[in-house]
Amino acid sequence: MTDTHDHHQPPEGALPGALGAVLADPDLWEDPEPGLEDAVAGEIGARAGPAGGAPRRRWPGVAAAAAVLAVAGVVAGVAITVGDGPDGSGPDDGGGAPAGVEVALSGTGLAPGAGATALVIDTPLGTRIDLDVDGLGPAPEGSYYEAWMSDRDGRVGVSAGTFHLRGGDGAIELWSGVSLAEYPQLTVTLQEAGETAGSDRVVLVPG
Amino acid sequence: MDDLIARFRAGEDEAVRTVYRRHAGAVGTVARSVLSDPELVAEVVQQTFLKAWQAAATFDADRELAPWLYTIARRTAIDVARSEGRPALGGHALEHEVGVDAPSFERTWEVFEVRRAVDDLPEREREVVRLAHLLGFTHREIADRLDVPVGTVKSRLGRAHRRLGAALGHLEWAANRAGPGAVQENERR
Repeated sequence: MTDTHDHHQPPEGALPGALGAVLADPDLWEDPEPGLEDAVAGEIGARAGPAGGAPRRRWPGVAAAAAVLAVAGVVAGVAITVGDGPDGSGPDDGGGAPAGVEVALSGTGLAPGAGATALVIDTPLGTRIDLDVDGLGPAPEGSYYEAWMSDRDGRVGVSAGTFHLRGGDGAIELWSGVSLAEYPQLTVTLQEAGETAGSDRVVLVPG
Repeated sequence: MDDLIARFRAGEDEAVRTVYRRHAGAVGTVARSVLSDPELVAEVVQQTFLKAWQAAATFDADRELAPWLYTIARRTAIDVARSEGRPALGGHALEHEVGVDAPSFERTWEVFEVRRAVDDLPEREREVVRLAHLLGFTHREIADRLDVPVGTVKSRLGRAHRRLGAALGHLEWAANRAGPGAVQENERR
């Protein structure tokens, strides 16, 4: 049978008209910009840390976590309001919802004299942690610090990012995909490059 | 899938790229349903995957990834559109008028699903669907362009349509499928 009536409709089992209309829409077929894949992979890879390619950020386990966090307990952060005034103060609106929680961290035996203040803020992009560190030495070459948010039992820990302080103390911006309400225990460990799990070398704990 | 999600959570490069390649086209349709500026569309696509990675620790790997990505993409696109709609700082005029008059959730989801189904087609079938439906080529024109017999074009298109029908049967269109009469009507033209 020759194709004497070459037509635009499919030859059999005609598509629903609505589907045909979608298939004819140029917006359906447009591909993402070239280079976007590399940008996405690069940004995630940079935030994921140096291990790359291996499953990592496994929490050290209940026992190790419990040993470290037993005295810390659940973080009882101080709710604050991040103002938008020139001096950081907010409008006196008589009790607006707090925009962040301030958590105090202190050094363990591995980092005596160290301390930090973490301002934990829920944003539409995730949980931002502004960590102001004081007295914590630079991570030796081949190692780095990692911040963790763990649940109340200390069973599940989620990495909030890494930093090294080899340029000195200062303010560090970290991000997490989980909320402080669900993962209220904030700690910092010292990691060796290439480690595939959270270490038990905890340097900062709540308190 | 479980292993891919775990590796994606870990930020493993290959896993991130696999998830991106499988879903970026569909995520782009969501962005374009809200935004017309190509730069903002790219920003939404990038932010969607970054947010998905940041939240991956709380994602149940037994669930389908696509609906979750869709929700993130739509929310991100609307947030970006709203941000662009605010008066710009520094007196800069907005180059593009960006509204937040987004199509319905269901409509955008349908287009997202169609793009996913199209991306899952074998390359040869995907191409004939594109030529037939997007560019409106006849079977003869497609055959000449691809340097294959007309019968091959019909076979590929038929298989592609069956795959699309199977993949998209859960959408409302499946209830409105045209019967054989539509094909016969066209043949009389």
